[in-house]
Amino acid sequence: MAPLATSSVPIAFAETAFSSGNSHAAIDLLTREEGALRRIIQRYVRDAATVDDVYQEVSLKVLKRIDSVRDLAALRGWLFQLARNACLDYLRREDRRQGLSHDVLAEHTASGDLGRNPGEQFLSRERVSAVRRALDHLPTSQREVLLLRIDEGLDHEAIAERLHISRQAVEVRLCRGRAALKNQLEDIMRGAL
Amino acid sequence: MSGSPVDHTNDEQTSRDLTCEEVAALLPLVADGALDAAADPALFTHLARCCECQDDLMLYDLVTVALEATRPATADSSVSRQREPKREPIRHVFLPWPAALAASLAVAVGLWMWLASMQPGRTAHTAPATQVVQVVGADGQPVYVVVQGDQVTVIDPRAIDGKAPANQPQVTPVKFNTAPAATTP
Repeated sequence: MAPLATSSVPIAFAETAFSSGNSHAAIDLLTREEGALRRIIQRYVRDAATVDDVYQEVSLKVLKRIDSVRDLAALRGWLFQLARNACLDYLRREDRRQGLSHDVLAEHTASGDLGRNPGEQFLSRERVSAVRRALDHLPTSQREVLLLRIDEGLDHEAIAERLHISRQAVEVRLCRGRAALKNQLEDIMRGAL
Repeated sequence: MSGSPVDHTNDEQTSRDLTCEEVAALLPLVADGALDAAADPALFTHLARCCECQDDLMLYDLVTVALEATRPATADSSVSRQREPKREPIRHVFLPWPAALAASLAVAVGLWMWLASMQPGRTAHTAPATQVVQVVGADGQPVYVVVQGDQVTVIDPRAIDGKAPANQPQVTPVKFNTAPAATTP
């Protein structure tokens, strides 16, 4: 797979941005990193208008929070996290808006268009149901940890207390369960493409 | 995933370079929200420039969104309950027993007095006191003022003796609205 062709941020520029905290530096940073940010967003939402919206959201967050970043080496990672979080927020909003209605599913099924990007495909009722079914087939130890985490919103410490196991055991089970579901989803999507 | 898709050109130097295998082991925790750029800058720096790891993380993220979308309604309410701020319990204030007893007695006595005043033939002032006061009249002669309840009677002793002027009444009843507490010396 081709590597990301992102332009790096010159050290002098970044230092200026962090020390002065002015918005011009942030805008300059966004200009240089726009391509990389858009490529990250396009992994989650490929519709051009939506990509623009999400990018706009990310830009605003960069302008507001650039002063909080002190670790120059972590600049790209920080930008990646902002973009990913904005994409997840969008997917969750979209999911609530559509409510995974039968109308949306029927429309997609009738047209044979399950969406061009993974996110859009994923928001079909069939995909969502398939993941939930895959969860039901996980080993009990992994399933109960995931249910407590996702359905009840407990953190790792609380899950460990509830199940009388160590926090490390909780994280191991979470990782294995999530990895199994991710592989299942990968198979589903590969089959659909 | 051996780290080959990572773009190292014009890259900032990080404290350590992670391989894709190392990152793959951490992706479930990233999707879980347990790791972020502040907690592990090297991990996110790798993610920012590695296409394959980004693809993997995207799948993990989609699993999370799917599970959240199919969260049972009861689980939704339990999660929302957890996120709701705890309400202060209603506090019941109990009086100490002597104060409670005194209050009860006061209410009972008040009720008894009210019921007693409501009985027929009985009033709060059943027998108005009678006062007789001797005062000096306008002509300098003594007269008697008899006060009974709200009724005042002025008695001229000369009328009793037959010395009073013929045109003056023997008694002069007067009614007051207020209680006859104040009397003229």
